[in-house]
Amino acid sequence: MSTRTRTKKAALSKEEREELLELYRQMVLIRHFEQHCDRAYRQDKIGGYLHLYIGEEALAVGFISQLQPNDRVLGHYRDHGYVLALGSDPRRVMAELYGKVTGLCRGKGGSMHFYDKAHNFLGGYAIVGGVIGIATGVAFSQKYRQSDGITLCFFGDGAMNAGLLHECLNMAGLWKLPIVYIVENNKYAMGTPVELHSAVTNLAERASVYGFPSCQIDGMDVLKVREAAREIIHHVRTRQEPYFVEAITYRFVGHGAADITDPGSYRTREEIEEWRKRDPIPNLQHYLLQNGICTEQELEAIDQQAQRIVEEAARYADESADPPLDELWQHVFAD
Amino acid sequence: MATRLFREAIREALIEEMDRDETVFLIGEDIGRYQGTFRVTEGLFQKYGPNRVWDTPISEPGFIAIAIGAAMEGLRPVVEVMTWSFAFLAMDQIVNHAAKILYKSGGACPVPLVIRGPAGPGKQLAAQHSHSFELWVAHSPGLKVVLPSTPADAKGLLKTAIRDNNPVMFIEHPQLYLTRGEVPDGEYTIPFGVADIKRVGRDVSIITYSRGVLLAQQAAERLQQEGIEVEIVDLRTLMPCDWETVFNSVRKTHRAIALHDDWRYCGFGAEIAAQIQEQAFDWLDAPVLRVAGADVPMPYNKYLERAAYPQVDDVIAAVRQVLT
Amino acid sequence: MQTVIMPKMGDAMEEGTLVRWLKQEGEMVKAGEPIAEIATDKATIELEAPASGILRGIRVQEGATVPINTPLAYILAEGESLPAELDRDGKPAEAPSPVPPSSVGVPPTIAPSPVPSPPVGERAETPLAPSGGEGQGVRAERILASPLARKIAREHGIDLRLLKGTGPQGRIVERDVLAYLQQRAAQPAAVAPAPAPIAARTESLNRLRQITAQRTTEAKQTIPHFYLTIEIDMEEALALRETLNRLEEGVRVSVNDLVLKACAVAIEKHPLVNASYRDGTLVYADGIHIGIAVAVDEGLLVAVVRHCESKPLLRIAQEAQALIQKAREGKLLPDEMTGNTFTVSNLGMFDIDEFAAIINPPASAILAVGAVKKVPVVMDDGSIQPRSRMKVTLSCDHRVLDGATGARFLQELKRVLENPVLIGYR
Repeated sequence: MSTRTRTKKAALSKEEREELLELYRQMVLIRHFEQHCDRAYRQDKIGGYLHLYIGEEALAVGFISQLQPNDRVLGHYRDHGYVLALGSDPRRVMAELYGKVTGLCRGKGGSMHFYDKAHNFLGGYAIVGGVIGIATGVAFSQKYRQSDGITLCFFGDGAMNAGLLHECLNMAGLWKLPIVYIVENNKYAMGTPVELHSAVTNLAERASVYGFPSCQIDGMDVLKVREAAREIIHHVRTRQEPYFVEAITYRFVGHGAADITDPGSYRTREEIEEWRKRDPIPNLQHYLLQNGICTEQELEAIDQQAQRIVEEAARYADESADPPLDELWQHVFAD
Repeated sequence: MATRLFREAIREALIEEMDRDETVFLIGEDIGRYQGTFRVTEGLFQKYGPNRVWDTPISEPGFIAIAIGAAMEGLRPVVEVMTWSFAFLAMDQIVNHAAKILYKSGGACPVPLVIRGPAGPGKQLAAQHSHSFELWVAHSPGLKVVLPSTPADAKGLLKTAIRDNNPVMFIEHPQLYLTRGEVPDGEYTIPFGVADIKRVGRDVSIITYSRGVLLAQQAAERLQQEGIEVEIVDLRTLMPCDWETVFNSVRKTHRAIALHDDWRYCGFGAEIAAQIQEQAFDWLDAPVLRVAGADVPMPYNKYLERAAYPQVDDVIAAVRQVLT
Repeated sequence: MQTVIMPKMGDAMEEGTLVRWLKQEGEMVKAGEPIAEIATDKATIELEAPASGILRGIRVQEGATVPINTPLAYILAEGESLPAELDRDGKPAEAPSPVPPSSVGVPPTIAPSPVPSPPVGERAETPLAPSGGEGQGVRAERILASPLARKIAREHGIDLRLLKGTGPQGRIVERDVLAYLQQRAAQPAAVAPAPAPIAARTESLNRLRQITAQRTTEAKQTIPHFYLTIEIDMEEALALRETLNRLEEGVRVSVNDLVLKACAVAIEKHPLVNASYRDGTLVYADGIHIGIAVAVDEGLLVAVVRHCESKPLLRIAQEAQALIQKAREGKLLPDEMTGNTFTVSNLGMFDIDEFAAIINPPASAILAVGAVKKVPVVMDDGSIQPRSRMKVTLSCDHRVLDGATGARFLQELKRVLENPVLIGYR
């Protein structure tokens, strides 16, 4: 994929400028949101496993910016970024993490199991690879109904080794399902580097044998992600066939909030510092300023606003009630 | 009322529901062009075409997961597993996805899915193809479990299963496919959680389902000649389960036998015995007995195989024992 | 001011140990700078300062183990001072013993040796040794009986030791108890001839008397009784009875029948009277089943009129008469003798003024009814009139009922009988 290079003098329409600022707004919101989650976990307000999206924001934001109303998104358990980019109410997202009845899933799902149909998020799945099967089924229903919608399926590089992935890529290829498989290759399956878990480390190549296109993209640059997503999603929608994307990315924090051996055990502080130079947020900031698209004050205002949204979300979650005890027995079966 | 083979009754249910509702589709291995290992889906590919009847690769986790995803979007997939013994491959999809999605979404995302196919011994298929499967799914909250014993029940229950908004595990016994029975004319469904007294008796209650009902009926015929009157409670669905009918029968007969092909150890008979002693203890005049499969992998040799799962004589012996 | 807390560093982490402080009280720290070392069950890690400022108010000593979220110290901005309640002059406010939690409470001199325990088989089967005055050296043999046999025996007051089981391993099963019951039903007739009245001799009790003896003793010993008496004007009730007996063919309503129905009406307002005490819980019955104490030649029986709340007066009268007749003929069925939720005992026909009865479990109250007598009564206008009056005494189980509850029930009973239109009759 190629990225259109913008010159300093690029004349942007009002809409184009607003789109760029929106990318920035969403990434900053996710960053602040995740940083608060980490603090709330230390204070025991968030329990269970907590996987943060810090460093990978450009992926969710870039891809989701190109969706249409009938499209669907499914993800793995590092799923906070998707719902925020899709427009879920940050207060309800935080309430879910706090286990409150006002949460996305009434406090019964938690960090790894978000679900928000109103915003086209059909679930985060906590079993590695599990999302791939479900998402393929969602794309199947789009084909069955001859809808114009497509499905985005996000998962990590660890899922490349789940048998289910290869079964589903095969059926998606066989049946020409409108789905984009996006592997977020952040170089580690928990603490195991890709070189030690994948016989072929080019994951796009590994997925290239099922009769549909695959490619590798830079997942740290939201503009490049957006450009790639625009072309790929258009291809899938119009040609009615799957697409496989390997997005090279990096998480700046541990695998989970409980990952106290990182850095040190499987990667070095230096490696993290090196990748931090590619942090998608300062990079976009730099681009916006260099090209005179906005002022520092505007960016500062966006940052302040994101912090306020997160503070408000935390206050809302704090003040919300726990689910009543009889909720325990509800939703085992549907009526 | 017309008579139908068990597998014809299932096929009728599929046809009626596919005609009634365009979101209903079939998916599984060799169900279309090959028309199904047990010929349940005979003629359906020809009748409905490839967008309603999907032949899949041999990928149980994959196509069951796809069915789950499709169900989440409001379609009503009916998955055929060639045998439930192959569903072990997809236990993550069944137990850790289908059964959990509604709950973990706080009630927002129902999964109206049916998985159906044969399970059970008796065809000399030996260790890896002969599993009874009910326990593996009945143990998991979020799954409904159905095991019909007659063509009429199979049809009415399958129609209910397809219209249900939950994952329904519909387990057919291969020895029943060629049994024949009367099937009501016209449209009907049978609700879940309603047991059927297949035979009324006063001396002992046999609590069973699926092939166990046939076995109990054969035993009851013979015991009647000795003046022993057996009551047969056909549970039909294990989740939900109609325990009240079980308790009422035991309150009447004071003696109960749990009967199934599945392994005895930790089998559904243990649940039956536990429920009865918890809820009808004071009405028992003898311990609840279990007649169930031997706790061994299924052997190939046909004599060994017969010895590995319940036969009529085992049921009769248990009745005599419980009446001592 | 920022609080430094013991952070949760893992999913199962509930407490952490402060290994050592890397910064001292009053020292300047920068956000993100390590200020202490903490140990979890998994690893020892550095605790970073949550903010820049001055470290003050260290509250947890090195070596101490504290739950997550416990404040460890505070970081003050320049110019800020520690609130007085937190300021301990730098001395730790809380200094839990620096002993690893696993060894807390174990005296160091005693080696943790396993406590000898009896072999499982023995423990399960050895009968409890007789203790105190009970048992008298009698070993309680386990009686093998099916749950159903036990239930029927319990309902009929049968001592299972008197039975011989015919089930497997000699288990007493339903048929054994039923056979015994049949045999017992036949026996009272056999003992009916009254023995000659010879003084100073021993006489064995018939079975009914045995049961009555056992039950009343048990009831009087285990139920804390108290008694309430009230006097009721019966003029209106007697008038109603007279009218009914005159107008309704084939019916004879007795005073007792009026009392039965009036009790049911009053119980509906005071359902606690209908409850019973069982193992520390209150059991509310599915209906109002009133037992009538019936004297028969062999002793005392209780015949039960079920669901008095839904039966009209005339039906209750018919049923009560039939039951009393059957009782006298020894033909009451087991079901007709059990399950009363309230009892009425009437000695009015013997001209008894008033008496107190023993509660008949599982009911928690019994109403003792005396004779209706004409007595002079000072009326509201000061005149003295002859009125038909009746005294009733309610015996109450104090575990279920209090004085006030019983009294309110009696007030209502009085109100109903004095205004019998409240009874209805059909």
